[in-house]
Amino acid sequence: MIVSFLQSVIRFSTVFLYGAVGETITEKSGNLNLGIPGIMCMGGAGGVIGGVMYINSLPDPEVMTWAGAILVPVFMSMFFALLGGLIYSFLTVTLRCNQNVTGLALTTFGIGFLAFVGSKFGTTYSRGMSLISRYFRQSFSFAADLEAFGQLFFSYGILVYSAIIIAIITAVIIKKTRTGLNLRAVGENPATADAAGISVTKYKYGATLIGSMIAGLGGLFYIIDKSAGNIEYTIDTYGWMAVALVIFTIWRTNWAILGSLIFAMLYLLPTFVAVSFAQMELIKMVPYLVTIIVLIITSIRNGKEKQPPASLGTTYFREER
Amino acid sequence: MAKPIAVQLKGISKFFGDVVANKEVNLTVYRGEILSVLGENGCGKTTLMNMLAGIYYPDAGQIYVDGEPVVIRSPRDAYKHRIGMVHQHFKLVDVFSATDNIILGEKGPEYSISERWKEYKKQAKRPQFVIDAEDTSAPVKAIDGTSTLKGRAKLFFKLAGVPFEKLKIKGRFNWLSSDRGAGVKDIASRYGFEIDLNKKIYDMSVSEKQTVEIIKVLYRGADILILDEPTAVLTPQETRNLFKVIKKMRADGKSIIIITHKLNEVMEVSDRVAVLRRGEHVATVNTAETTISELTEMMVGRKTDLNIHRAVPVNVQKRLEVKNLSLTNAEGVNVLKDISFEANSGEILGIAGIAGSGQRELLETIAGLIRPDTGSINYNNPKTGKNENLVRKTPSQIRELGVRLSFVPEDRLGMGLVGNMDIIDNMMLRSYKRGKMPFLDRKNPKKLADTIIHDLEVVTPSSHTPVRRLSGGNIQKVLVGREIASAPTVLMAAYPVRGLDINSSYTIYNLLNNQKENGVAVIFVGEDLDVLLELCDRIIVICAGKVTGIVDGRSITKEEIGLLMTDSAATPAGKEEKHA
Repeated sequence: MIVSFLQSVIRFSTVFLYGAVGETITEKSGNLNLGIPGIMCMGGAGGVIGGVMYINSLPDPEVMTWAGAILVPVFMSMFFALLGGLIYSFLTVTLRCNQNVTGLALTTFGIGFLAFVGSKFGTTYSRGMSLISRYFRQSFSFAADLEAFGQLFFSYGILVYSAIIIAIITAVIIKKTRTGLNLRAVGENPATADAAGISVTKYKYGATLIGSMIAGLGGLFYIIDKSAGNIEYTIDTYGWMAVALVIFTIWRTNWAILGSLIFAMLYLLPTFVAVSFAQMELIKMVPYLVTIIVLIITSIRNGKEKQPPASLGTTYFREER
Repeated sequence: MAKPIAVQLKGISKFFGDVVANKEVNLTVYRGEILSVLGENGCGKTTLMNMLAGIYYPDAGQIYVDGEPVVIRSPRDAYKHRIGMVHQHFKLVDVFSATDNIILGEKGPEYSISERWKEYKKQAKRPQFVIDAEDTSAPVKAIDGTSTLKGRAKLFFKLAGVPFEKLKIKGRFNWLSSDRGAGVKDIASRYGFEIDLNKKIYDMSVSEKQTVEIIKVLYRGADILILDEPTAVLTPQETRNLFKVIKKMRADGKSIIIITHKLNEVMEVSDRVAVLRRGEHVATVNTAETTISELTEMMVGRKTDLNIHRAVPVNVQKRLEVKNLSLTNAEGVNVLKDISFEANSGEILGIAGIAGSGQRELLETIAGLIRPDTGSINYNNPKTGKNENLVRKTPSQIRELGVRLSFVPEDRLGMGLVGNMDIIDNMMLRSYKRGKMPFLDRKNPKKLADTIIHDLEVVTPSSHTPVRRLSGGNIQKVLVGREIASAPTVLMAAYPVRGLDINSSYTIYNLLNNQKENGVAVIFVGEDLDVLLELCDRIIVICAGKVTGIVDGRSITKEEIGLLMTDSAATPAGKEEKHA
């Protein structure tokens, strides 16, 4: 019981982790991308499109190869998320539009796009998608031999492990490399970064695009792994939780691994303890409450290093007077 | 002049919409000299220099560096031509250490594995490979500062049989190594900067931040340094240190351009002075061959009388008595600590201190905008003769008593005036409550607006122009004019001349003096110590929210105030320094 609960927590946390890591990278460059829920939807939709493309290319839809079943959906998922990120960064960086408005519009668009793709392919390709899903959920063969330990740590598909690896690599790059230093400078004070010869536009585009691609994988994971290939339309809800998670983990992707587990645990708790529907909905609110409390605590503590990037949400124009 | 030319500007123009910021400016900077760029606020000094630093791009004209025509499109281009600028508002990342701010944007050290390997072998003097992490890493580290991990990686390749010498792998280290600040330290010690390079910027004082900026520019290899108003935020002592460093840099063959409007500093430190007026270059003269009044005339365009006529206070009465005032702000910082002083009628009381020492909070507390933790503010009402405590009163009650705050914060339109409303409507902000009819009375405010425009020489198309369209100086005149028009008994003016040209400044000083002669208690917060000494009868010096001295404006020296401002020594120590 407890093992299966923790198992589903770890799987569920992956959705948050992808979203939060992607959003953190974006926010480190000073772009408050509220389009992340939409981009996750687009990533999910892209994954479905990739799956459909792969199935159609096969002579016999029942015979798939590991490489094709994994790589085509992953590539298409990242490609569509990239398109979302491109729309966002073109509007906010090049055209200097308001970031909040752009992000919210993108989220609305992404939800609609997923609904469109889902209604077009959802029923006709459900068999093929669940086959593809099997490749994604394939875990280590020795997991079963290790009993509880194996189930807890080695029973997941490729996307769960890559999420954790991506989170750790991101944390190291941001903290320990010159690229990370430059990225942080762009998010803190773009004028300073500009004066230091760092291309603010390049970094903002780069961070937003890479962040979007990572977040898009979250959408892919939700459909193809967590929901076993069934197209679900509630991805944007988890996207908003991912945005909250970024604040909860005070812009650190290594902490996001732990944070996403806590969020997932709070979110899944009501389904495992027998409670009434009303209580269940109440418990589901806890992650948001925790985020608000974290915001209050960080603003009271007033630690300079625990604050959002100083220029978050503002657009940069060098010749501004 | 025998010195080689470093930079030459020919026919540089820059427009912002219809506004001409610079018009056909010609300027020459030689190697190993200190050039002052002098001019009033808004005359285009900073814009001109920003074009050298790559912040703005000129609309016309050509820049030459070492005789070659160059195009500077970004700060990166400027550094390529060895030009670096220290901006007035520092460009530093608060949450980074000094070192990280300085090395920001720098590429990592280059590496070429095959070259490195050859060198390593030479150093190790051991053809046989020994599996010993300590031994393998140490010599490599000595060459380029790579970590032990890299040494181990090489070992791995070697054992795997990869012909290391033949690998042509080149690139740059992206890793932030722990010894990344070595070059920064060298520069700091060469010019004698005393600074902890591992300190975070948010923990630093203004002068420390400036030091970081200067080291940054030097570290990036600039030979031509532009300093924008470097002394605006420094105490006289810090200014002297800065000038020492600048002279050291000149001796090193660097060209230093100082943007300033302070004539004393121009005379003290520079070799030549370039004067700008309304975006145009007036003349460049040798400092040794000119005088302050000549420079002023070039700056302003006509002869001006730069004397403040300070009358001896008459009929001095205690008007405002502040006792043991303490205040903690929202961030939990103790911004005012046990402040006590008196403000008298017929007297100008100056408040001196480094910006952000609590001046703003003090005035806002007196005006009733902030409630203090402890302490009292007693007001002697001249009409009734009663003694009233202002702490318990609302801002509008305090205003009715005649205590007026003409507050001019950094952002001029932030308090006091509404940018989108015209001058008349802004006058009405103070009078609309007096109306008895349901409709607004615009006649009297219009009269007042016209009087102010006429008396204070406000440059505006009409009294119906939104105030945000006026220039900074004119906005300030409107604000100060309105507060004076209400016949106050206490007039508080914070930085009333910030951003004003010389003429407007002296208009304001004279206005304050008139008020004083009319028996108003004037409280003046200023940043220019020379002016404070000329204008004020008494001066309170505050440092980090504490009163460090209340001194007589006629007998104190600038150095003594400077010491009090930093609270580095008590008054006797200051006197000793003067004797020495």
